[in-house]
Amino acid sequence: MSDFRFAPIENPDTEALWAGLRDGRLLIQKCSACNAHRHPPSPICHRCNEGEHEWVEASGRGTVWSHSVVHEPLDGWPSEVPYTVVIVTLEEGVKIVSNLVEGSHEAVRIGAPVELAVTQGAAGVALPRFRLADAG
Amino acid sequence: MTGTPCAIVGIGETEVARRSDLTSVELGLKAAIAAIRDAGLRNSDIDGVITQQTRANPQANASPLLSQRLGIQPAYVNDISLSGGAPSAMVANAVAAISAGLCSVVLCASGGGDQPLSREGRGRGRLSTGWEDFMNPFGAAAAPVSYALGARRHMHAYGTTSEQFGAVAVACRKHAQLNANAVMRKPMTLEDHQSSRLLADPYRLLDCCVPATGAGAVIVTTAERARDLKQRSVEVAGIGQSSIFATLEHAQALETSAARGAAERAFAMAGLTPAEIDMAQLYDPFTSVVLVTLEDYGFCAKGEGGAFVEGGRIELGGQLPVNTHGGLLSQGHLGGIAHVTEAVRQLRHQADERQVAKARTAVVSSQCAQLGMHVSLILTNERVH
Repeated sequence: MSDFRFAPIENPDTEALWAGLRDGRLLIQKCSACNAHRHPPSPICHRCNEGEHEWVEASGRGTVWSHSVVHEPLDGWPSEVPYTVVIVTLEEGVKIVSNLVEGSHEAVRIGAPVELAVTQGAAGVALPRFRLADAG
Repeated sequence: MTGTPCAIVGIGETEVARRSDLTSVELGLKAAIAAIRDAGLRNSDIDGVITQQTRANPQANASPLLSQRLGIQPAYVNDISLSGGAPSAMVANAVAAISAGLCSVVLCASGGGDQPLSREGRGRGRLSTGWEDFMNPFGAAAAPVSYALGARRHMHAYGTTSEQFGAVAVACRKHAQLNANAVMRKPMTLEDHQSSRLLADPYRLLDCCVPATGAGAVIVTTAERARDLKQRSVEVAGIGQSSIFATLEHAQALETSAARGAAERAFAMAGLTPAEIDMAQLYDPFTSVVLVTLEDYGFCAKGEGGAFVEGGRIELGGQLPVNTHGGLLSQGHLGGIAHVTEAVRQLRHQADERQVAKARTAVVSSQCAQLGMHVSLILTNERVH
């Protein structure tokens, strides 16, 4: 999971997110007008269309909303299979597409609790990934 | 039908193949000319041109370029870049433009298929800062992966099984065997589906469409003019569109889709119910999408799509034949235009061995954005009042 050929482009809409991850923190936008969280980053709130926002650190806790174990490299990415793609619903209520790290492919279930595991990769790219948390 | 009653009066389809020596431009031109000739029209009769952006060769100003190459100077042009949603969206936009009085005979052209062509690479440059940045780094952007996440939700919600997905693949393959212009014509059994390798679970290889090259086109004009033209007229009875999300993070559910809102609008416009539909040509990049669409269209209750597709119900001779040309799953992925051309062919009763007996009505679906955007067409060979 160290292939960053498909590294994200940082721009003024998204650079706070990627910079936060390099510090090991997952930042999401919180609308200053209506308090709605949002991800992926957007210049305006999808609920009230206000632009004022703050970047807040997500707790890093969430649950698996859907998952797929990928067994073959598709569209040329990545080189290492299998890997697990998940959609995680964060405690803050937003969804994020991500991966499970480590050997948790068989154990993944919808509803499983997960916690943030930021991956520091090559070329200064850090990604928000997750690991299965203890159910208790 | 709201607005000016319109009809599809010409269809064109090139050879569909895994690989082609032709560029997407040439394929698109061949399909366009075939559709114009099929309608008994001349290039100079075309006063509107709408194109579907091809993945193999995306380019700006595609409709002016196509017009120039055809040697025409239309009164209306438009480029549609809704990937798999584009085919029905082109027809919807043609009807809208005709209803608005902007033009009267519209060429809707789709070229290039979904496979890099040998004489041009797929236009995959550096990533944009759009949705890809939040999918690609996780290996989630490939369509089998992003759609697999939706299939998993349907299984979780309703107990849908891989075997039920397989029934869709088997039906499409049976139909492709009756279509000389289909890529995958080898017999397939449910056992073949079940023993095919996992790509992105729950999807196996045979849950996935077949990349192909090829192009298609249709001609849309007023229903009134259609009656004087060469082919049996196929009228557009209903159109519905719905856009409920663009990326997975904003999906409220994946066991249902934008097909629901689109179909409600299309059926209301047509004044028809699902029970009055004789066949369905449903956008099928992956097996589970067909099942979700059947439910969302109201052909069965939500959650019962798995049982509905079993027992040959969606095969020729069944209650509701689906994708009688083989679909993206077995004819090959041309971008979805062949669902439109097949519906028209069926409603003209020109489908030979795979003809749906006494067919009067068909639905066609096109969709994109991981189930978030959907366009429905309801077509009929009867007069729409």
